[in-house]
Amino acid sequence: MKAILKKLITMIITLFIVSFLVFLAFSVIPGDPALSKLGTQATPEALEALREEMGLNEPFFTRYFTWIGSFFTGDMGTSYSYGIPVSELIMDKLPITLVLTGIALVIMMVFTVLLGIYAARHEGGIIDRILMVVNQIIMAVPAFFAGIIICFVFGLILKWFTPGAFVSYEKDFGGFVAYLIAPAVAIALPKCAMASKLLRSSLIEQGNMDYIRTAYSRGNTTKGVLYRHALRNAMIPVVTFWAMAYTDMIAGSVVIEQVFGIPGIGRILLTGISNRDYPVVMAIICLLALFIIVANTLVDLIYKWIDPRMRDNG
Amino acid sequence: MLLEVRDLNIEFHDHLVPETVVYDFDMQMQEGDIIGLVGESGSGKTMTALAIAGLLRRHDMKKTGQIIFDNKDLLTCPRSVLRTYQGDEISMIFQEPMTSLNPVMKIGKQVEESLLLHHKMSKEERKKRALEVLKEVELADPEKVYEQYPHELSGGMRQRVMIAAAIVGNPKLLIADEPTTALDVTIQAQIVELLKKINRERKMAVLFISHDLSLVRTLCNRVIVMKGGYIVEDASTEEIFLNPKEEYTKNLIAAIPKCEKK
Repeated sequence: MKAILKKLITMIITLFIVSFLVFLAFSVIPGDPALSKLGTQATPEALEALREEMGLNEPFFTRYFTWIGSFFTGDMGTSYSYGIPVSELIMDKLPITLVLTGIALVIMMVFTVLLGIYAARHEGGIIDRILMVVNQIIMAVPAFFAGIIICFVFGLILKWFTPGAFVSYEKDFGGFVAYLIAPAVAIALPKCAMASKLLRSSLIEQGNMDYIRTAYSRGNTTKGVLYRHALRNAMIPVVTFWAMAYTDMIAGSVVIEQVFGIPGIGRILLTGISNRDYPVVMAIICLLALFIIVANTLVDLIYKWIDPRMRDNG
Repeated sequence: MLLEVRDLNIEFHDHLVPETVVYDFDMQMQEGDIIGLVGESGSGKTMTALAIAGLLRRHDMKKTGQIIFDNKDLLTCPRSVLRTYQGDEISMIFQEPMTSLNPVMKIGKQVEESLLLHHKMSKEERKKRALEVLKEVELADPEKVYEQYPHELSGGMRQRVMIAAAIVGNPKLLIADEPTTALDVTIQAQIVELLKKINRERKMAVLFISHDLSLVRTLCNRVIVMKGGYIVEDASTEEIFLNPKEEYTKNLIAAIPKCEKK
């Protein structure tokens, strides 16, 4: 209980720091939201009036505290370019990004375990060697490029899906999920290659441990040793990697959404940045940060569940 | 005859030149025997023990000879047959209690694993047996230890847990590979006493591997001395200590600190 409270406080402090840095960054970088809203032809008087209205003339800290204050009451401000509340804008797009990264996460976890175990059990065999080479290639390919290849091969040549024909989740949830599988694979592929390689070497390393010999001395089969003893120990570094990979996938989804024409968080983030739509951008960045913090907290809990040695020290 | 090893040769092929680590090893063990296998590091004693326990199954090595246990040759029988003996008829404890237990598995589950693998038993029965052996190895509060993880126990306690896990299936032979080397002296004596008690009460044969002749002297009734892969001397404990035939054995005895020779 105390540990959870401690975690919560750390989470809130981290969020505050992130929000402050984001706010600071957008105050420092050049560009004027009033100017980008009215265009370069606007009269200085109109610009000044709009700046006053947007509260841009207030001192930095006043603006920050007004923003953060309303942020915590759920009011994230109004989008400059869309003219609708930011919360509404984000809530509309958030499920898309969530489902996309969620599918990618599941794909990554399932294939990591399957491939990692297979490769470790058949270490040095022909399939293990092929897998390792393929892994090496996939690891070197960035997600967006994998996305383009997948679009081309499975979309345009094999016609398994139609690139760009995104289905809204409100209309047809099944079709929505089906469309997201290809981009999810593109995000998951490089992570999956790295994670399965990690699991393979971790399993092989565990195989030389003393407790494995003990397990054999009790009459365990190789399978029994693997699933009852080695796997859980071998998963410890893999889970850490998964957490990092998931964070990376959330950030990477911004790019992959562009490749596959998915109107998720990534798209409004990019248009928000180019339009100097600060309320939108800041809200999204804070939200992503929150996400990553929550994911990390979850991983800490999973970690403690897997490894009892982690339970005593906070 | 419980165990008979004949002409055991162990040869490694993991380097360019094959290397033999055990030559023509012969020994016999009766039920309830407690035999010491002594020698310096690299004398082949651990390799012999692992071979008897069926734990030398690497592909880059060659083993010849016979290891006859219960009228079965463990060296040539299929692995599935060997497994029915491992943990049930033949158990082994190791030198490093700190790393020989699975760090993420509860003590109780590790102690009762042999029962799970070899006997049809309900969960409650297994737990009951596990608690009994934990008590037998003189661990205070077996109920608590049952629910603990290895990192919560000291080295001596872990070695007791290892012994408990090894004897839970009531094997006929317990192989102890330097079980006290990693422990401090007071704990060493306790572990040796414990092995003695188990040997006496359960009529369990113990093959005790050590480089420490003074421990072997208090525990074993027969001693086999190994050097460089060969058996140098094989005699009863009294004979070895009173009337050693080989120069090497004499040197080993001379190496025991003086105060212990009184």
